[in-house]
Amino acid sequence: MGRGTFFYALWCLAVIAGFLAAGIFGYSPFAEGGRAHGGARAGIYGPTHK
Amino acid sequence: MQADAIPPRPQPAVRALNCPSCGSAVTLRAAGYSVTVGCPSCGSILDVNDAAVKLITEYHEMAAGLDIPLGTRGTYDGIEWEVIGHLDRSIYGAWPWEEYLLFNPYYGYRWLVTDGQSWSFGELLTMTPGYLTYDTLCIGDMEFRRFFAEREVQVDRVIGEFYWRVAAGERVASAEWAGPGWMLSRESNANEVSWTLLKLLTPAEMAEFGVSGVPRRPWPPPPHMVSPHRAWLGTGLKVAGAALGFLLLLMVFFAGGRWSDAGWFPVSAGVTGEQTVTIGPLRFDRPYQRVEIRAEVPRLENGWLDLDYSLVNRADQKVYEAYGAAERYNGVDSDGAWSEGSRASQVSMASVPRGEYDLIVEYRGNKWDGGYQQTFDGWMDAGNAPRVGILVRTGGLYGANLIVAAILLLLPLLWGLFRHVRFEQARQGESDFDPTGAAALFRTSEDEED
Repeated sequence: MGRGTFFYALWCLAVIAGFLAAGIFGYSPFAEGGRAHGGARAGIYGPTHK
Repeated sequence: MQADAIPPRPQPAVRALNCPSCGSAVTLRAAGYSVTVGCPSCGSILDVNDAAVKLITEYHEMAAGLDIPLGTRGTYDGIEWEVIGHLDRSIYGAWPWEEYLLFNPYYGYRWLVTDGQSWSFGELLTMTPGYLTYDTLCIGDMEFRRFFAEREVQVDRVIGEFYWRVAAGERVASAEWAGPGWMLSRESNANEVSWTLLKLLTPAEMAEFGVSGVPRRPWPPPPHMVSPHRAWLGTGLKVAGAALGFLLLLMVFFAGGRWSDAGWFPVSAGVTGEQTVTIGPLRFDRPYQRVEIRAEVPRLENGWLDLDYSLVNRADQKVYEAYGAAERYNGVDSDGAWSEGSRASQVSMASVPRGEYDLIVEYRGNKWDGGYQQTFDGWMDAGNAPRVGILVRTGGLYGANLIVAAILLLLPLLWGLFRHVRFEQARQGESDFDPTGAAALFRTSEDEED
């Protein structure tokens, strides 16, 4: 195994570990909700059709 | 009957003679094979075919310091070779390169060729390569694509001994084909056509001939150099595929549990303000979990339902919030009937700790009155008995996390692909012909005009 492949495999392991850790903690930076920190919401309603 | 024994090949003898020009001692290392020899002191070319050494071309200049002095011995592929001759060659004085003639009494002649950066080991072929296509040649399984078009090359200087009468100014037509690690050269004149197979040598192999400082990755790359990124990319793709497969397995393994029906609640007829329901207790057993909440509004049409969720921990009153909205619209316009939105809304809360919770849902129904030729706008009418159902489940991995992980896995491969393309463009940029493969990617119109 070349040095580049070795380091890339390490990188893949790190990504998998991060993914697994996020799964164990039920975390995602893209979750719609989480611990309340205040702040207001805003939204626009109505169809976007034309 | 015993076959006649094959007579042994005559051993070349080493012969000493004196240069008629400068008087220096000249050693003929392949006596009986060589027909000319260059004086290492003054560079004069001598004819050694006759017993009386004749002066062919006289050079009263010191032989330039060669990278490999004549007489140097080096081992390649387990065979020891002695450097006996040196040629400076060029295309009418431009694009110079050097060729060293090697000799071994049992294996004959070979070449070391260098453009000043990379070195190749050349062997004269006794067969003619075959044509696969008009621009691709082959020798067995090895394929070579045309690289340098045929042009006239000349000998600029001769030092040492050779097996033919070579002299400065000798010209032949030359063309080259390149394959991964190998190059094929054809030289022809009015009398003969010769093919030479050249293998790119590593710095370690050249160190065997006493040449140090050979760059590991010369730039621009020589025509027959294999992209160092190509093998890595191939292996990297397999590693990335395995990693992505493993992530998908994790997605399946950690899939969310079943939805549990938390209850159905009426939506007030007319716009009367927010309504609130409290659902609970909800018990979450894992140390941390993703909590998904789904709202279904079966009667929703041309309106929306605002939904505010608050998960309140009964033990410490910590609150986890999310907001959702179910929207559903339809209508008719000049293109016909249309509809958009969904009668359901789903949100998730991240990293909710273990405990007992109350889910407080604040919701408010709304009617959209901006439509044109609406087919239905009375979803909140009492006759429809509008209601919202709340469902809850825990567990499962975020699909967005999988996308982020996939991007992180592929980023190094994209970087490797970029470097591979850059390498191939630099390598094939030296060619007289249009680039192919990776080098043909991402070309601009200016490149194509060039």
